[in-house]
Amino acid sequence: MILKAESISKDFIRKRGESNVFHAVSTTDFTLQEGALTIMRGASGSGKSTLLNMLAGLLSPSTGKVTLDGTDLYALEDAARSRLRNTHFGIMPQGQTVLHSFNVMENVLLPYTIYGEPVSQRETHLALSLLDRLGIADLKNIMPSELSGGELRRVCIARALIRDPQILLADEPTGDLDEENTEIILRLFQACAKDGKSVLMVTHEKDIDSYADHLYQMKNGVLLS
Amino acid sequence: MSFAESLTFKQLSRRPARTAALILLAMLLSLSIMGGTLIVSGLKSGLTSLESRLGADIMVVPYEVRTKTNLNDLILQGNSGYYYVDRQYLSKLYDGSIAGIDQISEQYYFATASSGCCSAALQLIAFDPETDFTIKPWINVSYKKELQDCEIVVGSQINAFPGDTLIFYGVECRVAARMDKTGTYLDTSVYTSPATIEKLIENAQTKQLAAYTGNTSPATHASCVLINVADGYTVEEVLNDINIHVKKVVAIQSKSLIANVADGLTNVSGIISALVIVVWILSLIILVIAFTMMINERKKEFAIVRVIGASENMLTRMVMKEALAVSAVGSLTGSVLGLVIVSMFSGLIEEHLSLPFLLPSVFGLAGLFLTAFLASTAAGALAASYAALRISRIDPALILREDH
Repeated sequence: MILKAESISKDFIRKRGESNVFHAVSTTDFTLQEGALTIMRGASGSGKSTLLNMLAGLLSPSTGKVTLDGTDLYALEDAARSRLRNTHFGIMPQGQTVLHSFNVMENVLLPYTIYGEPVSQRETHLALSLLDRLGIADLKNIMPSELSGGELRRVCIARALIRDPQILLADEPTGDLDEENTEIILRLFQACAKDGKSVLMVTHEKDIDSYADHLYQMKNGVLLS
Repeated sequence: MSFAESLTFKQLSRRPARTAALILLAMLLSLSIMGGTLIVSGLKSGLTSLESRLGADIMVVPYEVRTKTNLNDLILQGNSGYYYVDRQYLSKLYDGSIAGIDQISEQYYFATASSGCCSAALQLIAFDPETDFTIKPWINVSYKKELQDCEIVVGSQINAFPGDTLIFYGVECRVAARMDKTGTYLDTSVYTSPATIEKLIENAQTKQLAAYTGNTSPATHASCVLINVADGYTVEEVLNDINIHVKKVVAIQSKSLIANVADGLTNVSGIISALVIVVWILSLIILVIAFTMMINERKKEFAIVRVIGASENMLTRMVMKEALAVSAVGSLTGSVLGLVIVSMFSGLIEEHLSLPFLLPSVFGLAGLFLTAFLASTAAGALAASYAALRISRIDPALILREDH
């Protein structure tokens, strides 16, 4: 699947300040390569998360369009775009984003249960194998409040991968992880890319460039290759 | 259980204090609606019942009962009437001197004593079965036969039932039937024939028991004459005619008695209705604030669900389900409480407000219950709809970014 951004930009209106318009992302063209791990690096506030959210169908661009296999995401009704995000995208937002009312296994299976889809043995087995691959299979019945930051992050990764999505978008997935856990996750992303998925990871970390198939730099809202 | 239901249940059970507070608010709302409307409805039913039970256009009473206080006492409080007029003064009502009388019937009020001679201190009302048009129809509701000698019909608040025997001045009187509840003094009265009253008076005199009759009897005196006006005449015409031509009595329009009660009822109903509206609005505002705060506190959770693929409508449904669950539980509890409290204290309400009070029928109660339940549940849903609308419009990317 080809995820493409055509001449997109994003401006935010500020309530205070000399200039009331903040250009978060300048006009940009971008295509997420299939079967590759793309890393987009940049300092905080450079616009990389904004770009990722526009690509994910979560933030409508001020100009331009985002297409998935030629379908304009933002021309779709919210319900259709949401369903598309649910089935074709694996998204890992910044920070800890598990639901604290559900245990690890329930959190991983959320993309199914949110639409009331029955969870069969196949999905449960898939969830368990993902958790195993991420080294947290023994925590499947544990509540999030009992998990460390790294474990929580891995739960989010498992949740993003549970539907076996073609597009994987990760915002600072290794931000608060130690070297060992960072390595595990980057290897997992590489494996996903080898499986033919389009993987985009945005980060401010500099020493992970070697994992990337394609590397981009984001600076003051401008995407540099 | 669907995800939305599961999330709703988990959220509600995970924060018991917050859930309990929301349920309490919904409960207060439905309690006020149920209690308020039940009181107003009970008072209106009491007034309607009173109108029906008076059943006559004009009441002719001895002149000394002319003041409104005395009349209200007589009609509403059930104070035993010691008022009698010699029947010779009433002859003009029967001889055609007064035009426009369609139906006419006399009643004789007689008080029993609370001493050993009588089962209880009650007001007995003797009516003439031949002419009566106000009491008999109500007796026929529960008793189809003519009253026999020493047979009585008791009001709904008297603790005696068909087949029981009550003793008045040494005479055993068999309870033939009970009246329906009216919410007026008629509930605490006993109805019988003039012949039975004559027998009680005679027995009291023979046994030298203290019974105040002022040397009167149903044969020679009357406490009240009830008149229905014939077609073609106005009540005012007949009433004025009686007041001019019949001595020792005063004719009163029944509606004027009810008007006092109706005025009181209008005032009380107005106050209660205003209070219900104020409570409803206040509860609605508090619920809006409570739901908005709750949603704000959980906006990250909703943002996560949105990122995973929930649509705006799904978020709205999730919030509304949670609000409806809380409101329905609170409304049900409040409606039941309102019904129980007003039913338990209906006597106290009647006494305190000095207005006739009659609980509606089972169907009426069911209707009020349903109305209170639906109105407060709807208020909960309405209060949550603002929060639901807000949460459905959230920008998940921005919220997760703020949180980070």
